[in-house]
Amino acid sequence: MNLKAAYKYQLTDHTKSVIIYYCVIVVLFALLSIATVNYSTGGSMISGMDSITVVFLFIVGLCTFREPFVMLLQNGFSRKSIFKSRLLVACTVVLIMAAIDKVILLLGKALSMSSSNSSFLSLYEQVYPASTAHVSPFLFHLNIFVFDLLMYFTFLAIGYLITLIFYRLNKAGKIAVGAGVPIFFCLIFPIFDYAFFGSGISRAFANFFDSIMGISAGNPYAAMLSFIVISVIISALSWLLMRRAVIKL
Amino acid sequence: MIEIRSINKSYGKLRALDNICLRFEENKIYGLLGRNGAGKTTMLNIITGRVFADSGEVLMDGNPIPENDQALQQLYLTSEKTLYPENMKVKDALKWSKQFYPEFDIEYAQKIATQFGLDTGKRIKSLSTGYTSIFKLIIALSVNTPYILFDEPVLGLDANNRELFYKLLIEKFSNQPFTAIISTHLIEEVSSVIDHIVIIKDGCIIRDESCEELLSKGYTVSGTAAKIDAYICGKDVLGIDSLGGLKTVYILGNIDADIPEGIEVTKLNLQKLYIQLTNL
Repeated sequence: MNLKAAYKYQLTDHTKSVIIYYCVIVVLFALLSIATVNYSTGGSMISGMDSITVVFLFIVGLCTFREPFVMLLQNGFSRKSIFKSRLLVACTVVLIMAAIDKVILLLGKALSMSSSNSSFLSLYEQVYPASTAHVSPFLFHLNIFVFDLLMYFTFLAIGYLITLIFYRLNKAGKIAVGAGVPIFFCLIFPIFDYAFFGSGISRAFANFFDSIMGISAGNPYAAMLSFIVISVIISALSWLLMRRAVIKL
Repeated sequence: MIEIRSINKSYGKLRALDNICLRFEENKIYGLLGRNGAGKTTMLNIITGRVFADSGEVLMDGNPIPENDQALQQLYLTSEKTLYPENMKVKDALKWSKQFYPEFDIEYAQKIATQFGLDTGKRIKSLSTGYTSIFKLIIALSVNTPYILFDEPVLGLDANNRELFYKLLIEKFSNQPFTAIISTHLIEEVSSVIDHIVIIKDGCIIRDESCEELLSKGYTVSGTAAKIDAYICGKDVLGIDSLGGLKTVYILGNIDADIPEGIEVTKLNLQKLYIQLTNL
């Protein structure tokens, strides 16, 4: 099977949006750097630019199911091939974006060194400050790269799963999930949790999130492992939804 | 050969296909006829794996088609609904078709696009209904797969372009035979093109035979109402058209040797026969 063609088609579908995104980021980065170097007097910090990539990839995930799916079904591809090529495209996109973000981070750090009062930090350094000490520069940068890579993949996969869920649902289901889930989590659950458990469930959830992300423990490897597990689960769910997805007429 | 074995499909309470068994042989042109909602599109979508049957099998040369890349690459379906990205330019769609189907003849596609007067620099979303159909037909005629399925291929096409399509189809078939399945309402036009006819009604196959065979199974008689009423007594009447004192009756069976005077006998007309069969 011509898996390469399906891969190429889906990758091309992403190329334009990724280029536009990085044009914006480069302009933003340049403006912030100029402002930091020339006008900052009391010290400044640019941080978490990789979190913008996370949001971007989540949105990309939300927007990239229907069009390639129906186009590839029209052109004689099985759902299995579409899913396989989709996974390969996701890996390629996150790999490229993690690499570009790494370059931006290195450039930012180089620029911040020229200004004694400024700093340029990744999300990783902000969340796991303790883990950045006592490691070689190579391992430090490798950790950031792998952390970003896995985080990006996870959020891209989450966006893709959400759009697949909505594609499979009928109109009533879309309204129920679209309105019901936010109402439940923003209104019903907090009231219920506060009234009956003194916000115990929310605390337990926060503790669970903290432990799987290794935040308090300062353990980024726990987060990396969690991202892998979450990605595998989400991708498996996506496949279960896609394997019976049909063209809606 | 494509073989459909006991396919059933329901949408809620609506039974779209009811125990369908069919064979589409190699290098033949099939006419898939049926009224709106008869189940034609559902059947084509099931053959190409776009929709799943509730039960039954669809095979190509003995191998299941759904989720079988090798089999799916032997098929191309032009559906009523456009499944190409709206923002894609026609020329880009042709380039991608070449990527997806190695046998796709891009030069031929560009040549017939010129014949149809389709500007390949246009975006798909900017095409009129007729030109959207033409765009899909150009790809179907250039894709060079052994099985090409046309679902309402001439939707919105003017008479000139419809004629051009049939001409190109016949040319293509003569140069390099393939299996074409044409689902259409325009029976009169397609009757000169098809070899084999499949009529579907309420999700069931009511006729599956060669066009010639079907048309030779009956005849049409016309004349005054009194003479016709007397003649058709005891005959297998498919349908009756009345106009004033004149009657036209469609009969299944062999033509009698002695036809009473004043009764005109003609061959069955496919469209008339179809209407009578699907109105029953």
